[in-house]
Amino acid sequence: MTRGRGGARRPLLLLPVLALCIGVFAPAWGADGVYRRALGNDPATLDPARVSDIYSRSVAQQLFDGLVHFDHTLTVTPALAQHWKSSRDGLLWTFTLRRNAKFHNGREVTADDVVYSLTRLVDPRTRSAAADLFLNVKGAPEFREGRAKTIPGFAALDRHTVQVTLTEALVPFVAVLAVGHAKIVPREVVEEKGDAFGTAPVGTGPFRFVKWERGRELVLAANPDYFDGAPRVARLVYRVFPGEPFDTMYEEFQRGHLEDTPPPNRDYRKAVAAAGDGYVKRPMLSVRFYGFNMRVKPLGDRLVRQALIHAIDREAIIEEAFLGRHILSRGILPPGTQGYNPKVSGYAYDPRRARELLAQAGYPDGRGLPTLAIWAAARNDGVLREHDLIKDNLKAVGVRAEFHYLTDWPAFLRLLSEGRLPIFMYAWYADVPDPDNFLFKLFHSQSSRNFTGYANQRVDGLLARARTEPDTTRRVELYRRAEQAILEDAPILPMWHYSYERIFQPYVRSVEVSGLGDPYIPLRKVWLVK
Amino acid sequence: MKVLALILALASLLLAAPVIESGTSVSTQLFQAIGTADGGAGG
Repeated sequence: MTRGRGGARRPLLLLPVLALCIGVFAPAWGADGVYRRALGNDPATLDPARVSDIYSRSVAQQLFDGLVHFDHTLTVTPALAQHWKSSRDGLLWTFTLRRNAKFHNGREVTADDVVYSLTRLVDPRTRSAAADLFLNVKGAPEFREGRAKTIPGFAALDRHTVQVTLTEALVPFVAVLAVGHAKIVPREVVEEKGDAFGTAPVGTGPFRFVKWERGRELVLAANPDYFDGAPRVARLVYRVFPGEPFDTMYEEFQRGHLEDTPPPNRDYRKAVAAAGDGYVKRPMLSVRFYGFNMRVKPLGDRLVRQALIHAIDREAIIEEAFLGRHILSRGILPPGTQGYNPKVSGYAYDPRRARELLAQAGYPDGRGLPTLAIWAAARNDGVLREHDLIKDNLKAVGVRAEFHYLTDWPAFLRLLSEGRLPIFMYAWYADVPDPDNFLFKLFHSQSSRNFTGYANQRVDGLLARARTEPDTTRRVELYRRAEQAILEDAPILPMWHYSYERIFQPYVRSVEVSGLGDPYIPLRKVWLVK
Repeated sequence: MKVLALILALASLLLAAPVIESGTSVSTQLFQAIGTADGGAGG
């Protein structure tokens, strides 16, 4: 969806056309004005190879480029690579770099930078979640296991030509290069700064890093030398609102201190109506859930987990705490994802069944069950209301729960990855419209993003087979079987799928939103009519 | 004879063409295990 002049709720197909028309009449002046955005938490890092959350992604997307990227229709298009070609068997890929692309320190981007950046992604010391996407590059497994010092599959043929050799062509390799981790970084800066690169990054993107005051704001400035044309705003200011307090963000928006905002929880309908064409809504590939840490007693017991899911009235929570804005998730995969199964029934709200399951697990009426600790990194009116309702629902079946809030996002992530949170509230956002993005990442026993400790050999097998299954029908069937098996084991309590909702000031123009949501809006195209 | 030679020359060119050029879009149907996804607080 593209938001052009007065175009927020026009038919979808017309919108890109509308944006183009506006482009014709767009002012010819250079970067002007400041675009201020709300960021729901501090990023954990701005090093693109290490990004694992939407706050980091939102900023890193504006600072860096890869060889290619997804446009707002999720089509792969050129970025630092001007063009590319592959052998017919898909094993040999040759990329020709643009000659006018420079890092923010003024140095030209070369083929050596590409080889360095991609090798760094695979390097286990980088701890990149994207490393496994490159293991079909010749020599990558040996390098990753420490048996080789370089990856022969990445080669700089000359200053502007990179060649990649694969051992297996599972997917068009160019699509792999479009993921947000595969950005090109300057070797000398990364090596000089080490871990500090994540707090003062140097990229090639349309905006360059200026400063970051944790818990307050993060400032980027327009890159006038950007290869695809300078941004139309001079500065981007991300104002940090730890804990995602949407009402506070909206108040700041109303005062004219932000150019866009998520709608508030309080007076939601009034705010959306008042926004008129400034309000944008579209489906988003995401799932919001509570994860059960299965290594912690009594959450290792499937009957207990199933009882907790049956005990909670999710539809009432969506209605009462969030005014029906979200789509109830009966399963895990969001609508619009390949493999989404509309027939999944999931767990109905059934307190009687919850009590039966608790009794079967040895906790009749909740007797003997410890108080459950539920952790969250967001704290706003909607979330607090949601937690009140959950507390009441659990109490009705004899379960006591206490909520803990840690709105320091990097600290929350640390506790999560150390397995120290018994039950945790979490949201998961796709970066590619594919079921693997949800099921493999969250539930395969060897995935670094499996925070629940879930391990089921049968599910592992189905997910591994689905990854390489070329037949779409069979692939969908594998994912559906995996999803059903996961739901039966109940490692998470799925709550809902988000819609992307945002309110823009009336003077904001040319916002392009894809199904991947806010982090992927190309802010260099946005301009202000003030 | 000339026509045949021309056809043969064209055929050999086509057979020798080793590459698929860029600029073609990639269907989302073809995505397999390429993404990483991101987490968030879920406020």
